[in-house]
Amino acid sequence: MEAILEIKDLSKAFGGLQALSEFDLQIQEGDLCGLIGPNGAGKTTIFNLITGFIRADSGDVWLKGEKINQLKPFEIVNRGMARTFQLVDLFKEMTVLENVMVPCFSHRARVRKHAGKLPRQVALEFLEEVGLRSSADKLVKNLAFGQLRLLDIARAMATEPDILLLDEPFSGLDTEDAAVLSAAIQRMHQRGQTMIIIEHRLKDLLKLVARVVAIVFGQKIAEGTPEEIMSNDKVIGAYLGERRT
Amino acid sequence: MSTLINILVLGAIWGALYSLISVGFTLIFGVAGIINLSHGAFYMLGAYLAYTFITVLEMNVLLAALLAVSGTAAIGMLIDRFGIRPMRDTHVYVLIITLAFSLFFQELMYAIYGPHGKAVKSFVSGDMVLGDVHVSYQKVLTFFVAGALVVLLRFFIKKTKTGRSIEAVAQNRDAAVFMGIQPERVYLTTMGVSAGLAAVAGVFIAPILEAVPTMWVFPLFKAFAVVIIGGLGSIEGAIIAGMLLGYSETMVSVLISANYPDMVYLVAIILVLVLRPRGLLGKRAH
Amino acid sequence: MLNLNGLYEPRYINKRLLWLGVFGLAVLLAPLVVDDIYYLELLFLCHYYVILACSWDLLTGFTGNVNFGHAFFIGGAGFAGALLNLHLGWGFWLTLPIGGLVAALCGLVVGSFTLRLKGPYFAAVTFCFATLLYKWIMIRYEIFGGEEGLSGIDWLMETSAGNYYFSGLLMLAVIFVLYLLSKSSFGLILRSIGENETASLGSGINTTFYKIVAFMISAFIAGVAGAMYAHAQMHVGPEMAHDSLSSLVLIMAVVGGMGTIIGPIIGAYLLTLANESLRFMGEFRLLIYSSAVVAIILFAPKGLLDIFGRGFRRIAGQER
Repeated sequence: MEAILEIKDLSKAFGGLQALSEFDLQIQEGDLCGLIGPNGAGKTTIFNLITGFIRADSGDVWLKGEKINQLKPFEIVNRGMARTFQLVDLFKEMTVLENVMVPCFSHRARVRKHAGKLPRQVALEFLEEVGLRSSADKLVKNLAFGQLRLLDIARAMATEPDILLLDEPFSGLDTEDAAVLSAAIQRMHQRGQTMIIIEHRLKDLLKLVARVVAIVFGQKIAEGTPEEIMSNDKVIGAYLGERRT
Repeated sequence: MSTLINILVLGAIWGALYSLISVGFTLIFGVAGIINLSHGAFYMLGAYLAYTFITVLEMNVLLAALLAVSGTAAIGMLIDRFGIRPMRDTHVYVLIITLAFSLFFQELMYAIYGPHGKAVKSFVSGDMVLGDVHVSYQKVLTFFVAGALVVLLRFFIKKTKTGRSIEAVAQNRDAAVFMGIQPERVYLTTMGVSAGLAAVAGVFIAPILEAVPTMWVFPLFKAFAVVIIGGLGSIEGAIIAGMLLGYSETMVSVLISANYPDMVYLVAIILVLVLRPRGLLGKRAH
Repeated sequence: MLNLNGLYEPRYINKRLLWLGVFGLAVLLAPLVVDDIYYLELLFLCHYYVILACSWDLLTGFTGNVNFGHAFFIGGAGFAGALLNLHLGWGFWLTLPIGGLVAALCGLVVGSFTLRLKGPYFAAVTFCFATLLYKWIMIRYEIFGGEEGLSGIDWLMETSAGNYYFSGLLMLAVIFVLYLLSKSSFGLILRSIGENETASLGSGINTTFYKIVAFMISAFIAGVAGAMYAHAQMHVGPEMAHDSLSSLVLIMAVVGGMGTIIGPIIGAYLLTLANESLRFMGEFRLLIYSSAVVAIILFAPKGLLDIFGRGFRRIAGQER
């Protein structure tokens, strides 16, 4: 079966620093893959490269069989890959509902619109998915912090992506909000949404994902199930320092 | 032959003048990230203040020039403090408020001085003769003053403490804050320097062209052209591009027609922005 | 693309539409009260500036891209219409739409090259195009009449009252269209661009495309208005393409409140009437005028509508 997302030999250097070297990854439909690594390992760089925000030095990215290296970010969104950001980027002076309606008018969402339903309806349904429906008319700047993350995800979902990239969705959340987010992600996974999640909070992440990729200093050092990764010496070493025997 | 000398000399003089007007503009952009549409107004104020002090009050030229420049610098700092600072982060707002100030000063000049051009006597009289060409000493003086100030500015930025803190804020505002620099004070100082430089240009131009209330428009956008070509925030770029513009205009004026030199900068802005938005030498725009 | 169905709940529509309805009625009924030609012509001027300010606001108020060259469209279409009328005898029912289309075409060409630039650069380029047009008009005085411009254009309507109604109806039509646009998905997208262009791009919106469309509509409306003005005055002059007109229109929209439809209406009426009523001040008129503008921008940066609107919202107890 053809992979939804295929990354081959992706490399990027900033100035003298090699941020990413020859990174490979294959994501199948329905995968829920976690991406971990210490700070500065290159995780967000991967997201930035594959979503068109920065140009790679070498390597290729295929989305559903189409090479997307040269495309602009909004074009990639319209091809089916959406992402959220660590620093949530929303329309602060607009309502929650309006925030989710905007992506409903992207070219992709227009074309695939739920038959006969008004965009407003569709947007409300996305809000329902993340549990924000009751806040639909609130201005974003009046939202609680935990809700901003959920809104960001709803917004990304509204473009009807084939694959969703979440960049540290749990950061800054308290336990209650984290539980809500976790449940939402699980629901999306059960519906078959393909996702890659970058996350530092391993406890939250490893409960959700079936597969983990670990990166250190721009290089993939391990790939496998959560159990395999957590007992992998290289991974442990990266987080805690080399084990001296 | 005289055509060539004409071009070389006049091109240099106007080039130096444009560089002088533009370095202040690029400075304030590089440091505070704002396009200051009042910049032309500072130039105009310099000219009118020179007229007031020299022609009307018959003061000593040097004293008058100093007063005109420092007065304008002060006005610039007031505008920064009370007009721009409140909403510094909203670009649209800054564009509009500085434009509004320019319009206000235009009307103020109309009200105080009337619509007719005001002439100032040259600081130095007489002409220099090169072959067939006569060049007024006033123009020559302008060239040297402009050149000296531009060099001084560069020295100021690179070598003095204040200048280096300006550069620090320009490069990385947050890091500068960590080092104990107060960005607001830097913005204020930069605006003062910027306005002062524009005023000097105005002071020296007053004897050559007349002072009119609408004289703030062309230097503003010519400075913009220079800064875009030379790269926003780059003083070296402003100098080079200023000379380029001066020479281009002079060549067009002499070789083609006197109707067209004032279109050079307009075409330049369009071409550069459409073809090579980053300019020739500058930092990344935004 | 233009999706209006059920986009907003009825209660959002009521307030503004109500005010606009009242306003529309006032415009239509005013000549019953006022029949002095002087006032009719003054109000004609107000209508004209409302159209200009609203058209300008469509691009800048919504997307945040400041347009410093609106006079390009106004004067350009004005002269185009004038030339068609003087040389080919075409009446206003042709010159107005053609003027608008010419302007829209220019908007398309200029916009496609420049709307992908960041804010201040786009602003500068618009200024450049407008100034180039102005200079060209002055240089080719044999075509455009130089400082004096062109005279002898056919009048718009037979009477001042006729002009009043023509411009009034045009104004109301423009306002209505812009209102619908602002409520539609198109308006939502434009606002999202002005609010946060990066987030808009991230939502899959081709922002450049929408900006160009907005620019074209803005240009079309301004062009029609320019041609209309030319007929009503029976004259076009280079001042219609001068940057002072661009600044004036801009200031009207800003003072009233950008991005609100009602704001530019307020700004246009206020500044036009103030300009006229300050005539008695003689030389100091424009000085007072420009000082007032500076003061308003300093103390009410979001425009007068925002200041008064806050008062209304508090009264209405509307919590969003």
